[in-house]
Amino acid sequence: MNLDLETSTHGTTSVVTLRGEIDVYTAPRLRQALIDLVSGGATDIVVDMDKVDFLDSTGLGVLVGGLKRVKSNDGDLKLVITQDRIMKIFDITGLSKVFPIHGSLDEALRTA
Amino acid sequence: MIDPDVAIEIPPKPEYVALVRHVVGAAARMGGLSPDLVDNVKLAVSEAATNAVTMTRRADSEEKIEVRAEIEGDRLLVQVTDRGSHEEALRTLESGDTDPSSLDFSFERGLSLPLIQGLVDEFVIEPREGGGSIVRMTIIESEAEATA
Repeated sequence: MNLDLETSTHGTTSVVTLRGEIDVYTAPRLRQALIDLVSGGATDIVVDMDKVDFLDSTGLGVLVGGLKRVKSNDGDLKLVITQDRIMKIFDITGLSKVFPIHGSLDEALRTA
Repeated sequence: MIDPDVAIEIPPKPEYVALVRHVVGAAARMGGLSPDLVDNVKLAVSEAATNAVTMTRRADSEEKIEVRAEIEGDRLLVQVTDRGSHEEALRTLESGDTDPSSLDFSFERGLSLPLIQGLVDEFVIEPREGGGSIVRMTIIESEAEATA
């Protein structure tokens, strides 16, 4: 059980690419990555969840925390969600109305 | 087709939640639940196990958490037993104050309960004799889902 996490920069947008499972054990690494990006000056962040196999409420809480951080700097945190089983989690919790959600990384970057 | 009946015990540590998720998910799959419902089962049991780990640690206890999963006809019954306290969870449920759009979570596991409630057909938290709590969840395979 693991989570691979890569960050890259596309113009002025920081992209966090996730692969694997996000739960109570792995979510702290995502939290730290988002904190590091914001304290490094990033305002626009895209979290790409195309290759995420599992996401729970701990992961959702970390994403909400990241959104609050970038919003306080007039930035935004967008999500790339390509799988129904991940989208379902955002729909059940009402968070699909809170995050800008895109069907591909290209689309998320185009609307930056 | 077999009707799995499994029980596992884990220490109250975050790294063990994945083990619970994969064992119970495998039991649900072997029991014939549809792939969508297997996903729901994995997430719901993960949430319940995470809550149990969190509450047990908050109670300064090292007591193991027991998870049982059993197929009974068209339904999967899951039971998570711990020595923590679910008073906070119960308070949140009763207050109904779980609206995530406010972006203001007074309760750190506040997203967990609405998520579980959205995933399972029945969900009950009961106090356990001698301290701790028992969470029971039922996931029912409807005919529509079975043939989808």
